[in-house]
Formats: sequence, structure tokens, C-alpha cells
Amino acid sequence: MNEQERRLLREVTEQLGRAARGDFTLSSLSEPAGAEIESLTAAVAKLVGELEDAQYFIAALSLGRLDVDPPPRNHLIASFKQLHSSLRHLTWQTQQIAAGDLNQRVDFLGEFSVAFNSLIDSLREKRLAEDRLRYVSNHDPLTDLYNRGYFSEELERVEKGRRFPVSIMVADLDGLKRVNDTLGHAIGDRLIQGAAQVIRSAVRGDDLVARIGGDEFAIILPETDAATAREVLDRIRGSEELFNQENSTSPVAISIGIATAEQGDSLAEVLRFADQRMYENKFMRKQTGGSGRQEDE
Amino acid sequence: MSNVEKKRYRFHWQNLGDIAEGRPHLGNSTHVAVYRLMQYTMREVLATRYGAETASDILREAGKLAGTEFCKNVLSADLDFNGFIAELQDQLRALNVGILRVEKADLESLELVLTVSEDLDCSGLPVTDETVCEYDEGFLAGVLQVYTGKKFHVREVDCWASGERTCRFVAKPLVERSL
Ligand SMILES: [Zn+2]
Repeated sequence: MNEQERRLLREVTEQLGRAARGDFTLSSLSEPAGAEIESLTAAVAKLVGELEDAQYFIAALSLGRLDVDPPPRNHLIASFKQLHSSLRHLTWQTQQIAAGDLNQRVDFLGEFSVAFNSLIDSLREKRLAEDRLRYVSNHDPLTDLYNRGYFSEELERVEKGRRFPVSIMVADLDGLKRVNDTLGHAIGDRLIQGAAQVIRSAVRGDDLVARIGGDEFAIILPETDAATAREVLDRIRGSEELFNQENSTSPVAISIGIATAEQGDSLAEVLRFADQRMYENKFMRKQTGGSGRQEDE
Repeated sequence: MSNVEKKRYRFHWQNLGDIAEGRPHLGNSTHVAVYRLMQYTMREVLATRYGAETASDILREAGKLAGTEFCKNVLSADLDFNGFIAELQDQLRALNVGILRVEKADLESLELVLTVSEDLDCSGLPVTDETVCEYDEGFLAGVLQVYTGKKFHVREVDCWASGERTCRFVAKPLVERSL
């Protein structure tokens, strides 16, 4: 090795030393060098460049800057790149969870995974409790039908919607007070459940049945004109007849009124109208001795 | 190839056969090395005969056919996007193909960044500075095309074989060029 080569090697060594201290500025050799030292310098320059890229990426990663992409084909950062990838996936998973998907599991971040998964578990429990609470607050416990509160909300929603014509039915269980007074509330409750069963078995999937009073039920029938509502009524009458054949000791008798609304009508008004018709029906049925099927109108 | 021949060689899911009946003792699993032996010898013969680029194209096209059929026969295309991805993840894991993760999913532009770890095709391969998962590129493109009804371009930007620990795929819908 001659004196010049020694000087150049010292320059390359200094370059590496600077890089080790975090200074990545590259300086070219002070004098022309032979092929071997040239190729050493090129390799050092490549290494220093990769160190610089790696340092930039790792610094960004340490600040949570996941938007900074890892430098391509840089083998120095392989493990950090994997961490970066895991954190990006975790970000996506968290977004999914925020959007309601509680089926996400983390299994690549050690102890953090355990903590994260138990967080999701408790979110799931909370959601189940909320679902149960929502169900209870919307439903009548005796019949499992919707309750009056939910019915009123739904009536407002349907009024603002586009599913007209909307028919509304009001159904009232005849003689409940008498049964409660003479046979007791347990029998009365069974009668209410029987009426609920009769109505529920006759309506369609989109119809909403609610128990809105002690012996009173209401049904919202979206996209249903008067003629179609009449068909539903016939089905209820058929179902009532069948129920009474099967339960001859405690038959139900239901008075029903229907009214139909067009877009723009007030559904509260239409509900009152259906209620009025229900009373007319009840009166008529009393005149004809309770059967009065042909008097339904 | 004439149309008649094309028809005769059209792949159907049933072509995979009744494995339970055919392999009552050996079952439906095999060594990963066997799968790789088949893929990399096939690749070499294709590359020798048609050149590396054409070999890659053929593998990609085969992968796309596989992805298309896989989506039609195994996945539920009626799920919403997140449900669909979750099902794809579950299936790839259950079938020991790899661990699929989503790094980014832009539901507006349908641009996705997906990673596959412990990939059947490449994890553990010697590092050669090249990505080798063209078959997977095609597979993902096929799956996404059946699900979205749009053609996809899928590129593997990182691969075990290029020195990374996971394979990373960028998928975007192909822009339809208007005439
Ligand atoms: Zn790969």
C-alpha cells in the first residue's frame, strides 16, 4: 500500500465514523483513486445512504408517523418495517372496531394483543347489555310485542318516510275487564297473549305490531292501501277463528278498526280515525252478539 | 387454441375432485415443500421456454383464474366489504395459505394495501432481491374482480424473496381507458 492509498483509506474510515455518529453527508475523495478503493468508496456510500434512509424512517415511526413509507429494498430496517406493517394493520382494525366490527382480534403484538382483545371483549359485553336494554325499553314484556313508546316513535318515522299508502289498525280485546274481575289477572294476561298471537300470526314481516294499552293493540302497515289492509284484516279474523277452535275454554274476541293514510296525511290523525272505527266495530259486534265478522269495516 | 379446445380445458371447481373419497388415509394436506416444488419447477420450465417475463405473466394469469374460482366457490360475495375481507382472512388462514392483513383500505377509490405473512409461496425463500409472488398478485386481482365487478391491478411491492418479512400488495382498480 502506498502513501496515497493510505490517505484515501483514512478518508473512507472517517466517512464511516461520521455515519456512525449520525452524520450522513457524503464527501468525495480528495484525490483520484484506483479501482479497488473506488469500489470500496461506492459500497460505503451505498451503506451510508441506506443508513440515512433507515434513520429517517425509524425516526418517523417512533413518532407514530405511519404515513411515511419504508424505503424500498432496505434490509437494515426489515424488523422495523414489520412493526410498521403491524401498526398500520392495527390502525385499520381499530377503524373497523370504531365502525362497529367487534370481531377484530390482534395476535401479533405480544402482551398488547392480550390487552387489546380484552378491551374488545368488554366492548362486546357492553354492546350486548345495550342491545338487551334497548330491547326491554322497546318491548312489552307480557306479549313481546313493541310497546307504546316505540310505536309512537315508529309512527313519526313512517310519517316522514316514503312508504305510503300506510294503513293503521287498532285492535281491542273485548271483555278483558270482565275476565280480570271474575277469573283473575293471570287468565286476563293469557287472553292478552292469545290476542297478540292471533294478530302476529296474521300480519306480514314489514308490519309493526305494538301493544299500546292494557287491552289495545295497534299495527302499522306500510305500503298498504285500504284493499290490502282489508286482506290482512281477513287473515286476522281467520287466525282468530282458528285460535278459538284450539282454545275453546278461553276464546278471544277482538274489535278492529282500520284507516289508511296517503303521503302528507297526519298519522296521529289516521290513528284516531282507526280507533274510532274500532269502537264502531265493537258496538256493532255487541249488537250482533260478539261475532259480527261481516260488520267489520 | 380453437374454441372447442378452450371449452374442453375450461377449469371448473369440480376438477379439484372429491379429495375425501380419493384420499381416505392421506387426507387433504400435503407438505408445503411439495407445493413449492411444483410451482418453482413449473416456473423454471416456463421461463426457459418462454422467457422470465412471459413466465411471470402466465403465473399471474393462472393465479387470477384461481382467485376468480376461489371467490365464486368459497367466499360470499354478498357480504359488505369489511365482512368480505374478514371472510377472506379467515379462509386464507384456515387453508394455511397465509396471514392476510389490511394496511389500508380506501372504500371510495377501492385502493388497498394488503400484507400476507407466512405466505405459502415465498416465506422462507432465499433472498434474491426480486418479488416472486405473481401467482398471488393474480389471485388477489381475481378475488377482487369477482367481488367488486371491477378489474384490478395488483402489484407485489415487497416480498420475502426481496428481503422483507411479509409480502405487501398494492391493489387498485384498473382505469378503463375510453376510446
Ligand atoms: Zn412474496
